[in-house]
Amino acid sequence: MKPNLSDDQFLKRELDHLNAKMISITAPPTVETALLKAFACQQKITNAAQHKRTTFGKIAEWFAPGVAIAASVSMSVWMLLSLSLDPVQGLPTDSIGNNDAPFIALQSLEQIALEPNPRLIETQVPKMMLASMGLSVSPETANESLRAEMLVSATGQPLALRFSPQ
Amino acid sequence: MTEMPLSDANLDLELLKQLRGGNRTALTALYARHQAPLYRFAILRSGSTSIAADVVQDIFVALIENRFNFDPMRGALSSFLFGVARNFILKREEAERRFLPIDFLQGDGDDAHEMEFVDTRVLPLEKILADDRAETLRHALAKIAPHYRDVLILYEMQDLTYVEIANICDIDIGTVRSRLSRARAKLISLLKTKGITNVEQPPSQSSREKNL
Repeated sequence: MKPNLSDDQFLKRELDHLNAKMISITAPPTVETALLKAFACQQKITNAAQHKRTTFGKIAEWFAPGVAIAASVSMSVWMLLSLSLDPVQGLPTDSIGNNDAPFIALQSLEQIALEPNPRLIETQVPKMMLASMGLSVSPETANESLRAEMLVSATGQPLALRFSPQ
Repeated sequence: MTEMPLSDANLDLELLKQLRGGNRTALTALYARHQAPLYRFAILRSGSTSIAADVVQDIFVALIENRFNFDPMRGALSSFLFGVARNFILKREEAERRFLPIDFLQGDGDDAHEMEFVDTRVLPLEKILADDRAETLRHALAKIAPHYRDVLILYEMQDLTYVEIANICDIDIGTVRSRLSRARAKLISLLKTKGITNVEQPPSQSSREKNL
């Protein structure tokens, strides 16, 4: 007659039995389905964030030389500039985009980056505005206007400004 | 020159890196590698297949969202994920107040005033296995206090080392040994009260026919 198992052997036998019965158990297929959906959502979020970072980065590059000027632009200047936002008719549109001058940010870079549909318009900016921005202006020409390209939001809010070749 | 296959740990790291890079195939590969042991651990630990499925899903969603601070220098991804599973279940239990915090939480429960918990809200456990003997053991496991059950499951059912279990449960190796010893003793006692004895099982019918 075989002796009884020791307690350790007994427990090992029972645990091995449980292990054998559980070895084929896997998570239900609904879990993987849910994960693939979560992955797709996460990818959309990641891609959108990457697009914003890229746009933000490009805008920051545009503004890099002009940031110091942007820092001195006060809200009152912005309000004055917004009054002079009449798109100039008849100017050649191919000047837009070929201008290498840096943009001067009129809003925060984050706000500019978040703008979904910015557009670039040609406009004319009174020279006296440059004085408000800390730039020197000759009194003889203070009343003149300068050609500029204005980045505006979909609602017409000025976002940034750069001067066109005169 | 033949390329050496990646070790398990390095393969997990590579898959994790690819997942973070947006590779969907890496996700399915990681899932295939780890879901079953995690799911089985969560079933044994929680007693519920729905909780186990939720835990596995939550773990992998967190991986997808890169919410974990996994340090490969501290151990394998598999051990790390067991630790996460354990913590997720603990949080659920705390939220449901299934177990009251008592004396043994202050130490490792190895004193004379240790209480044994029975989760009356879960029992009777859902029937998961067709085999009654296996189910009896599973029920007996569910009766053991959680901090003992963790160690027992991870050691006996998941083949983890003392060091891995110590990291997962945030205890020292000596405590792992003592909890394992007490958990085994308790489990043996519970099984015997259920009528499962340590009499050696008779040989199966097929082996008897072979002996003739």
